[in-house]
Amino acid sequence: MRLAPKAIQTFRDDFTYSNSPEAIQRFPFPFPEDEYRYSVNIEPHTPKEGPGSAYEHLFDIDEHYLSEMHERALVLKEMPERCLSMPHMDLAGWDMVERVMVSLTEDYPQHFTLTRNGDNWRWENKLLNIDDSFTFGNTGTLPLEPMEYIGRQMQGDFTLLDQREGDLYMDAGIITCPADWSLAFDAGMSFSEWHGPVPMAKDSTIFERALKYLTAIQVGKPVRRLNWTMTINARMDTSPETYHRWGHERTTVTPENVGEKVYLRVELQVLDRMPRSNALLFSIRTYLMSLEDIVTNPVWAKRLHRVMKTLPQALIDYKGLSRYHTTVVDYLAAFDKAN
Amino acid sequence: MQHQVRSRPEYRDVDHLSSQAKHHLFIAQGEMSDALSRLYNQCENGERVSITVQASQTPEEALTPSMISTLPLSTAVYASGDENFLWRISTALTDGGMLAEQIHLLPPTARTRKVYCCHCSSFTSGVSHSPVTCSGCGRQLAVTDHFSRRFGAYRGYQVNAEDPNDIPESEELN
Repeated sequence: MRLAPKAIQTFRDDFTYSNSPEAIQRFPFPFPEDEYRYSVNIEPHTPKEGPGSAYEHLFDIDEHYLSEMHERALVLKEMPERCLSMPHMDLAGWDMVERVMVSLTEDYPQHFTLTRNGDNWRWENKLLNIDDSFTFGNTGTLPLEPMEYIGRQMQGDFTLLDQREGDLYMDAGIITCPADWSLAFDAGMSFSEWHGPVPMAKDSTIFERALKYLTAIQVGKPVRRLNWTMTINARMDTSPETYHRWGHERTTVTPENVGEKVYLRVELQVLDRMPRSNALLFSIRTYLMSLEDIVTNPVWAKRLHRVMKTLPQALIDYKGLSRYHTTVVDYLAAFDKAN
Repeated sequence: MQHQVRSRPEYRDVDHLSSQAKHHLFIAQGEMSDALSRLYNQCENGERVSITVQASQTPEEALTPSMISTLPLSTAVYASGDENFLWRISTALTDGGMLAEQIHLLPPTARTRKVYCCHCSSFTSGVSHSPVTCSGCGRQLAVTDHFSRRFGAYRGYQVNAEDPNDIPESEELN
């Protein structure tokens, strides 16, 4: 049973964001085993876990759609530089427009309709009351640049990666809910450069192997992986640009409020080859779930406890958990008596 | 745990001229360094050109697109200066159509860094210690090793954003 988007909730100030029981049930819990293990964990992005799961469609639209689109508009209004596209990425932007519009129309026909007559396209987004006609490939006929136009109608962050000389370059993106990385700073970087701050042995071949795999992705064969961290309060925009506003929240976690304050933040990352530009569309779809919602599932509660207990110190620091990691482990221990 | 940040460039001494090039362009920030002079002296007159970029001039003014377009295809470029200078030269050249393998950056002539503030987008130059006061917004910035070649600068972020009283000891950057 797929969810209808609900009325706007906030990811800032009063944090009215909440998850319905159905949203909890379909949360993409990222830990396949009882202890932390570093892996690239890439798999084909094909449906699993049945109808209504977060993996059912290429792009997941859920009950938070209107809230996230409102939040994205707020961020871009204050900081337009959170969306950036280098001139040579225009074609990739149009690739993205087509990929998104075609799949949303197929997967969510009640909300989206694309009508094509040659290059004359009409796009209807009933959730946001958008009805635009334009000429495909002609940027002047859209109200915004193609990537930004469609990116403002999609949950999650997007980058478009240019592929040259066997490497990937972050040359375009719309990034309003990052887990502490800056598009403005990372723009133009190669695959290994933008992963620079990730704590891994320098000689680790994991990134080389991942890059080889990603550059070989073919059109129509998207892949996915899950990534995770933790966030205090249901804050979508945990960007370096705004760190001075949210950093102090990491000092507010107590044994009394840890269940409601601390959120597991999961990114469903999908990489999808674009047919005209050969760029990779990299979508980073973020799900936020408070610990008290997570522990309603006894299997998750136990597993999260064991993962958090065995997390290496370097990752605790890198993910910014140092100030409240122990409080989280102590809270979760109550759900894992045997360990 | 200190780990090596992979975006931080590594520099190697350049001891001899590129064997594939027939023309050699030397770009120096101010005075030619000894290392650059040694290379320059390995060339014959007629196959070498040198450019000295003075403090009054930006690297981009010294290397305009029209100037780059006049360089022979078989040109190798050797640049010496501080790290920000090197990457601005490199970017100007690649934007002008040159390939990375034609560009040889000598190890930076100064240990100081240029730092990008992710809060106000200003740059602070000549940074030798972390934290540093941002020249734009005045925040105390922790200087990371995460480097952007496009900016020729390292990322900085407010060091005490989590706890205003938590300002680490000043540390010399290497």
